[in-house]
Amino acid sequence: MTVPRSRRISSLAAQLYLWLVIVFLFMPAIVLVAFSFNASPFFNLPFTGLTFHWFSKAFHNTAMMSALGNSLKVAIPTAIIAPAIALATALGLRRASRWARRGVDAAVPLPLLVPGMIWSLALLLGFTRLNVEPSIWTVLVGHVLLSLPIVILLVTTRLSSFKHEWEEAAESLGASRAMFVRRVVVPHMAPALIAGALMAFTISFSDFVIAFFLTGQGFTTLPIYIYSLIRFQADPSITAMASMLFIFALVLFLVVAKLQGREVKAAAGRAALASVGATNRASEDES
Amino acid sequence: MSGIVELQAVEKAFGDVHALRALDLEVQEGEFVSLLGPSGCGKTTTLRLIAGFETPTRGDVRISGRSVLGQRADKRGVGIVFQNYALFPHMDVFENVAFGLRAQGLRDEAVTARVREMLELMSLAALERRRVHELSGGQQQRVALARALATRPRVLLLDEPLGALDKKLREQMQTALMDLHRTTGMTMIYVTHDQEEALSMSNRVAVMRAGRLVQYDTPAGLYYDPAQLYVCRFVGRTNVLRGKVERVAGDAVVASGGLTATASEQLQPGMDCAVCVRPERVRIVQEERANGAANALAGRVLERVFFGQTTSYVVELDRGGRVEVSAFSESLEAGAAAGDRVVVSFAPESGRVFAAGDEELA
Repeated sequence: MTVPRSRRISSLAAQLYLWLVIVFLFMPAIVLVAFSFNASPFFNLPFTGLTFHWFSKAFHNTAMMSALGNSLKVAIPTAIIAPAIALATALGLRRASRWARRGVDAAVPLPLLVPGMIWSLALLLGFTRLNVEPSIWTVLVGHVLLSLPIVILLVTTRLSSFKHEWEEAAESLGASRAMFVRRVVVPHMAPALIAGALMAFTISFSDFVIAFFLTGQGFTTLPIYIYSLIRFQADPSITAMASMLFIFALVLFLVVAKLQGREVKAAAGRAALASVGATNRASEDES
Repeated sequence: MSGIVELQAVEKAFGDVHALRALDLEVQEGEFVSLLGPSGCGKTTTLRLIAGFETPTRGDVRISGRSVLGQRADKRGVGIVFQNYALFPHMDVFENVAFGLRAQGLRDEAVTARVREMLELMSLAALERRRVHELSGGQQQRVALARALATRPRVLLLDEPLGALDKKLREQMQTALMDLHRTTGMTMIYVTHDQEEALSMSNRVAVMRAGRLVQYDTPAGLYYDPAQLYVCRFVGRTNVLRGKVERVAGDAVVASGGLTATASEQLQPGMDCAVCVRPERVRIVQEERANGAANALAGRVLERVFFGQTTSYVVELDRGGRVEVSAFSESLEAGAAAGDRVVVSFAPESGRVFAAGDEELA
């Protein structure tokens, strides 16, 4: 098999270019992971030796662990509540009038266009008006609202491939409403619900702005804790924690991509990128 | 007379569109009834009213003698097979068939036994664990049937279930359905726009048009005794000779050109009318051998088509119009050839006279 030389070179160049793009995209994450193994307590070259000290330090930092716990306490409920609300919204919309549907379709993505800062400020003002003290609950509400547009988009897209006849077939076979939802709707929607849960989790887990505005006394999420560490006592235990989060997101992405179809891969890809974005922000701040 | 399914003066309007008007229909237990008509005639709406997916605007729907208005579809005990099957794609064949049994709350062993029985009946046993998308159209059709039958519904509704299959498969499935009807004795209501299918499979056929029931009769009744010109033309092949009514004497009608035939509707002298006669009821003889038969019409053979068992002639009449003649090939004496002068004739009791006018086919 002989391939013309010029073509071989151009295909080689294309591959090289692809790898350059990938390296460029992941450079910050790679730097981050590399520095978390560096023995030096400062973020500078040359490397002074390989160590797991910073990981151990991160795990022994009770404040950091409690911030991680707080983040999970918000992110996990967000990942459950947002897809549930999105599913109810999407199902309800199918029975709504065309005008109502168009209105909601147009309104749902709007919060994505509002800068996070303004959105958070609006939420804070709203809560203050209602005399609600900032707490874990306000952050949870904020995160559910923040992730809903994307989750609703995912879920309504999936629901559009739902066939009306399945509902009638289930009914004619004697299925109750509950059985229809459990055996037909949820399995069909599962890929979008899982993707939505992942998205909501990642959005909540990596959010800084809303948490910054809506956290109360003594309740700190991980991004906010990392931010305060960077300002006051930066050391590589931050990068160690960030590396672990990055690896966690990567593993999550790979597992889900393996288990599910294309739809979820795309969504999980976005989720992974979002988490990389979060760790990038952290590493940018460090340098 | 009370049937297992009864529709009484049912009307259904979708906004300004009247899908059904004053529909009365009664189906006896164990009957195979077809709803026949062109698309948009209301046959599918009728089926959906029985299934419980639609509510009538007026009138009553009764199953086993009780009104089911206000009863949800899942409580009616009516099975349905959809044109596009509507199988659950995330379940395998077994689970699709088991769905209705699980809805009834049957124990696992009972579900398994019943599903196996249905799969056996539908020759699907080997495909138990296949996913729906791995099946051919005919196999999906059989799964849909097995699923609908598994719960032993009081009535099985079939909405053009063979529409998506190719001709050969469709014929096989027709036979399979008829066998199934015979062996289970289940009441079946079948929607189709294919008149041959309706005639060959049904005990009775309800011919529908623009939301109304035009005629409800046995296939033979529809064929030999159509109530309207519309039915006569829609069911089977027919020759239509147009003219005016000249005289009416009891059932016998004399129309222009001396055509004598039997009245199927109330007719008055002077009305526009159509005399209809089935191709196999028309006799064809060479012109020189015609000897004063009734309704003799002279013409020229335009075409002769050999179908094997039967042979068809298309004869261009001198009075205008064409007549199709169909005869057993064996019974033809020295059959006429294209271009021959011939005389076609039919007995007065074979011809039907209808008022002409509103007979356009949709």
